[in-house]
Amino acid sequence: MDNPKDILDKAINALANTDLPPGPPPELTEATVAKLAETTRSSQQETGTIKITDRTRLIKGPIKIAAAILILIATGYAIGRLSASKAPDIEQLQAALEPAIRQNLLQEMDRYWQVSLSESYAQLKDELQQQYRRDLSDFAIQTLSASSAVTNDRLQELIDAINAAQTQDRRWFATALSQIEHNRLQDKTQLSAGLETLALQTEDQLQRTRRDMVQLLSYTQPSSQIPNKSRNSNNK
Amino acid sequence: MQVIDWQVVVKKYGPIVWNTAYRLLGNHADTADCFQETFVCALEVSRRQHVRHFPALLIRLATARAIDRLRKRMREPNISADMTICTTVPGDNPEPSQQIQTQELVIGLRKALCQLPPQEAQVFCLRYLNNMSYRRIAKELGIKNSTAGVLLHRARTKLRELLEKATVI
Repeated sequence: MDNPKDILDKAINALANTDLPPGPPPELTEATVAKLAETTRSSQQETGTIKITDRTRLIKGPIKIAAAILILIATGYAIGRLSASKAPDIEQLQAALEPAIRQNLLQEMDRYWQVSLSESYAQLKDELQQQYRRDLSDFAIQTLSASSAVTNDRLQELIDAINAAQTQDRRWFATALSQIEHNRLQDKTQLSAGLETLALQTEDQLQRTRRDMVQLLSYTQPSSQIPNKSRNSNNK
Repeated sequence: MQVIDWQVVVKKYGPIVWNTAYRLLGNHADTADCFQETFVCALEVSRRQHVRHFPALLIRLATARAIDRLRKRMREPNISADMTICTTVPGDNPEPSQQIQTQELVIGLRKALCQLPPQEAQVFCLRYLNNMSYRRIAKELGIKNSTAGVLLHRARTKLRELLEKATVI
């Protein structure tokens, strides 16, 4: 570091390079923050209240303006009163104004009636439209309900007819089945009777055949005839 | 109205204010008082006008408060600026004689600053102790750059004379 020759520079150097303790201490920082908060609060309270002098200063302005307005009004009234002309002739004024007033009145009445008629026409139109819509919707509802009732009846009739036809079919089918069963039983009986008859006849036939066989076996031929016959048979 | 979180401001710029005040006053008690006064004054300033550069404002206020306090201390008969010798932290000078010389220079400069007009003392401190530019000093004090230069020149001249006079005595 340079050592300046000037005494002032030396002093500045010394003061600028003075070792400083670390700071500020935390308690000082906290105290400062608290003091600032307190100062802010007190100043806010001060600003919240208005002093009497301030109030009078605030009021003075409007009072001045109000006084000036009053003076202006009074002056204007006085000038108007002084400069006003004499009272006019009423009959002449009436005669002059009556036709114009009548004309205006008639025009106003015409306009009023036109406006009211147009309004009532529009209102009537709206009401008729609404009525027409309501009637249409009622008719549509009634038609729909009637048609649905008729459709329901027809459907019910159709269902009944189908049910009756089905019942008839079932009955016929049952009759046919019972007839078939009856025929089957009859055939079976006939068949069994026929078989029994056949069996009896067969048995009788067998008995007869057995008897014939027995007779045949029991029949004996004379002995002289037997060898010859046997010899002849051997020669052949 | 400008909304300022003073807790943040005090924590952020507290060390700058502390160093500025301590460098001029040289003791803990006066520095603490100056510290609080500086922030209260900054609060009042912030109510009147929009603060754009808090460090510069705080340094200016701390310097002004410290010079005022130093001047007040000089006026009191029982207490003089010499008391700072006891509380000033010694510098890095290795030799005791040099250390004493430095301390004497520091005390002499503080005394001389008390004898300057307040604005000149402020300009001097802001320029040489806080390394502020002419432009910033002029802006903070509400004067022209040239005026700041003139004030600084006058302060330097007067301080040199006062210091030389004190050395001769």
